[in-house]
Amino acid sequence: MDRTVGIARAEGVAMMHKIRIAGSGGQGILIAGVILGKAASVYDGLWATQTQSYGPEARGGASKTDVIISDTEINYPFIGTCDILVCLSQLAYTKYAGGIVPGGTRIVDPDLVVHHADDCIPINASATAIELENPLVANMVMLGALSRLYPVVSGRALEEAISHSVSRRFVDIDIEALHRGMALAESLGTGEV
Amino acid sequence: MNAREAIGDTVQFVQGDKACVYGALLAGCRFFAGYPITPATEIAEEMSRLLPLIGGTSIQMEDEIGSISAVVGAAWTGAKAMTATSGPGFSLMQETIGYAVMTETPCVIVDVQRGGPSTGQPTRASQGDVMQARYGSHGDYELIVLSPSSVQEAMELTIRAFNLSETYRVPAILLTEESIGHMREKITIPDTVPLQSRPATEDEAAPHVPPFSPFGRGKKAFVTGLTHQDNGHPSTDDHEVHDRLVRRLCAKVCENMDDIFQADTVRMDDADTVIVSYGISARPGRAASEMAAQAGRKVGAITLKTLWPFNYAYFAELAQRVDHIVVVEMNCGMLYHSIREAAAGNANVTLVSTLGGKVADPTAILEVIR
Repeated sequence: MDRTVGIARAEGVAMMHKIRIAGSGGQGILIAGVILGKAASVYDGLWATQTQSYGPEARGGASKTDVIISDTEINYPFIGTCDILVCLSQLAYTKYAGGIVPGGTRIVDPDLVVHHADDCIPINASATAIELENPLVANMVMLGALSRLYPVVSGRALEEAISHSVSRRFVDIDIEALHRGMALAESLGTGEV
Repeated sequence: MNAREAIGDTVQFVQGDKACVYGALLAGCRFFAGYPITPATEIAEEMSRLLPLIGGTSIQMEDEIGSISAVVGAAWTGAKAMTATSGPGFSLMQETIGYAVMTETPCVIVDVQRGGPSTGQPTRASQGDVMQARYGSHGDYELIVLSPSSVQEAMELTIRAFNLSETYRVPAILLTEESIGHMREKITIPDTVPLQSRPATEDEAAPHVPPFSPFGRGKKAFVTGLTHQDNGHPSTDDHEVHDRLVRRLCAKVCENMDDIFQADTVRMDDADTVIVSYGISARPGRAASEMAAQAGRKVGAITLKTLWPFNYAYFAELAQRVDHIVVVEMNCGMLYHSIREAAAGNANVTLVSTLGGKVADPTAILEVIR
């Protein structure tokens, strides 16, 4: 089954993608959104906005970040329903799974989102992170997978954004996790990657 | 290290709060005093990180009254100085903002608005301080209030706030919201920016603005919040002295409207309807204008960068040209009242009001236009 989502880039037609990354406080949801937005805007030359939920729900409960990536300046930076949902916890899935456009893409970690719809794309991000001996890099595994399943941002830009966003001692492990995520997405047999 | 070097890369993906700090440093701000409060805390954090690198001073004070007082004191020594807060802290600062007006002290106050009254909604945006920014202190006065609608503008209008504050020796307020303060967007940082400094002599001064003598530079300077004569000496029971002083303090702001007022316009040629908004509310305003254009409607959008002094002439002229003015605000209607007053019945003025941290949805604005 071809799970690669085609990206319409017809001449004169604005490209805009609304991406929501959701999980629990402490999983690096926010930094994943920042790196995604930075990669697209600073290193791929597009426009991006990144917003996030603050407050009680960001501390241990469901946490989310919304990223819009566009080839033109973005007027309205908020997301009602998203095109792509990346979920790293059951709680976040329950809260946000419905808020997606018809035909949108939902990527889940099946170890963390045990109950999910059949059309969700499973990426074993946390298990991969544990293999890399750092459970905290599951977010980067997800970003790598996202960049292959839904190529709104280049791998090179993501690597640049990671290098300029995280502490120097985490750059190598984060980029390795990114590559593992890309490989996981490719192993799904998408054909076109 | 200079300010530009401390800021780093030319293109960055940062929060509005951080962009505001960048603007301040580029404008020459070398003194910050503040007290942490959501959603303005990131400004204090970034100031405490960057100012020491460039020979500046960043102090966490005991509260917001101490913060604005330290800023006024620093400005008297000649420094460009700033504080940053949100609703509850902004309320505490009001008396000293009036003191800065009366003593003609250049300074910048950033209010990253959150939901009020009181402690309200710390993590949610609002535009509920629009009236307080203008009328929060007692007595008759005018000051300058700017509102950015993007992260890039958070930097640019902070620079402008410093320059206007210095030129006119008046407090300038950057009135932003949690949504801009915490949102990340791409910004491009200039290598150099135009800089204004307070006038040292009569020749350098704008109309109605007296030259400034910093403390400790050889001249004896009188500074008082009491009604005073031109030489700074108190004169509290002569109605003519008070009348002349207060009218001059207002005139130096209002009579320089052409220099102070700025607004961005889109699709205003032959528009019959116009969406007027500012800050984060301008984003759905512009989106609604674009959606209306796609539907063949003639709907312009005006994004106000300067809220106060209020440009009555601009809106009076606008009301002659269009049928319908739609004002979008995250409050129960604040600038709406001034716009309606200026329109004087020549155009319908409708308010789209959102509360609770909700930014107006572009489709909700279109509903009003339909």
